[in-house]
Amino acid sequence: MLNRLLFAHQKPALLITAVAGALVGMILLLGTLQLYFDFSDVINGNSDVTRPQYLVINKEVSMLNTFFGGQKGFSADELASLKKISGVKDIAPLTSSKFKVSISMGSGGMQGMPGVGGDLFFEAVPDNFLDVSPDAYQWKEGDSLVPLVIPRDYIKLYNFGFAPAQGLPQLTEGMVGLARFTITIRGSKGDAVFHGKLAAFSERINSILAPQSFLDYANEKFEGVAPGSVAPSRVVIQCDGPATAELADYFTKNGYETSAESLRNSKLNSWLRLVMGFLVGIGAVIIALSALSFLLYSLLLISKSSYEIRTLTSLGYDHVKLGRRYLEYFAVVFSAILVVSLVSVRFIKLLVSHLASSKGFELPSGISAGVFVSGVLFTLVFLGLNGWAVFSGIRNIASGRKSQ
Amino acid sequence: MKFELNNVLPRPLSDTPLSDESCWKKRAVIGPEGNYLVEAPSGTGKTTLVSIMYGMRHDYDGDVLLDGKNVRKFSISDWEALRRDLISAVFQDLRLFPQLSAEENIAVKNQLTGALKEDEIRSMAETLGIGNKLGQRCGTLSLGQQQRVAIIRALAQPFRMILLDEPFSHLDEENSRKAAEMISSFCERNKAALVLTSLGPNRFFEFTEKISI
Repeated sequence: MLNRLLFAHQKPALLITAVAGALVGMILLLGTLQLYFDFSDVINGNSDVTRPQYLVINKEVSMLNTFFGGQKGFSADELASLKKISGVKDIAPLTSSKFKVSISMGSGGMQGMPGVGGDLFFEAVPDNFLDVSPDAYQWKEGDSLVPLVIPRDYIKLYNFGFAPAQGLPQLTEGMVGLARFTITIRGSKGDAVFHGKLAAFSERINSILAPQSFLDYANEKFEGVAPGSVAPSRVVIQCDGPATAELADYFTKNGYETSAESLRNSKLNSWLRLVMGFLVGIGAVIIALSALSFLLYSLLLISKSSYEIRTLTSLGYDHVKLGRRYLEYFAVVFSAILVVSLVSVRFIKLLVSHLASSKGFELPSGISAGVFVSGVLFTLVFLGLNGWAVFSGIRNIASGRKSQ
Repeated sequence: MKFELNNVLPRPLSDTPLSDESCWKKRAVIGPEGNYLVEAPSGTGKTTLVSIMYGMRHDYDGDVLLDGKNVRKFSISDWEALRRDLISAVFQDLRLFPQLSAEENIAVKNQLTGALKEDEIRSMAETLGIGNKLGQRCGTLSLGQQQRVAIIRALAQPFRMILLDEPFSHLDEENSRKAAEMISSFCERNKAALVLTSLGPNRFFEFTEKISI
């Protein structure tokens, strides 16, 4: 009976218009947000945008410094300013070997393998910059076995390039790890022979890596170069997330080079972000307008019902409880709008990902948690706005200060 | 429950000349018991007085105390609680819901307070001659019938004071007498004070005090 009085002045046409507006706004906004999330997924190649990314940079090699021996390393100042760029979490120099290295492997160790050998170099990075477990990758003075890390691509090169061409068997990572080889070091201050093994494979750093402790020791012992005394020519950068356009610009400006794909995408990425942000903005404007139309609707409903509200409060009904009835009603309406919007976005998403997969382009088909949370958030904002309108309207009427 | 009016003057009346006996701008006490007659010609503020005592109007100068407390300090919710438990009223404009039936109009109040049983309401309606009208929409009832619905609704709650703003203006002698009897018996039962406004003398109640305006 109470609801019959409070909602006696419903205007179905107005309500439907307001609901339709809110629905369109909500679907657009949530849909765009979902698209935004999906595209960041595609661009960054993984859904966890906060995962740190690693870049290895070096200075551009030019004719000038090839012939005239210009400064090719990173100075301490340059390292310090690199560290200050937003998005850069940490940096570490790649230490390179100053001595001559050659390795050789006899054919005796493995069936069917030819004896191979050649000149090499080593580099080293701090353990925490490496994507391999540090346990298998330790060296201390006195150890004759030096664990090495090579790029995983080398195995692929061998298995799919070298081995078929030479009629050699393909090797697994496990098998390669069993091989032992001889490392011969020749420096200006002495020579030495070590044994080596491949301890792990890295996808992050494109170099032949030896433990930092070994390189520091060997550089000093065989060439007299103290750790940290030579400006590093390559630097590993740990970023908070995917590389930003700011970082890319900084690299270009300073003549730094990197091979990271993600950096090349970062400009496209920021453009896409801009466009997506624009779309989200449009959705937000639409939803703001629909919030406004709901606000007007509830103001109209309250003011049309002012006789009923005033009379009920003059009979002793609690105006707060009356307001709560309206709010419950709006909560139901808004929840319905939220549910319908989410279902619609899910459905559209399903269609889009179907379309995308037919074009050979994989999109996750679910709704992101962020979209869900934004939907709930917008519903709460709607409810809060209307709650404010309802309660201030009812208070005005109940206080008897309005239209006696 | 006792109202004290100290120097009260409704703002709309500030330019109107007041008669010497008028209670405005003086001290007046209403309650805690007794029947009060507020008799005055129209336009002198009878309804305004009732509205002030019911917390529906606040546009006056001076102070109104209820049991010693200044009613200006009362919140909206305080007034609403008073209207549920302590003060009842029959409004001059009745304030019924035209889209609800007579029975539903009474039930709106009775559901809130649970004061009357259904057969009590029925027999009260019978007594006042609207027993056969209970199911009818209030908007289609005559003013006299509506007035009786409003009176029954006002009695569907506990109260220590009842404010009647020209409650019998559309009732015949016989129905006025019956309604007055019914109201008196409820006042006795509730040990309540009664305040009645009227354009002229009213002979259906025994008044203990007359308030001029």
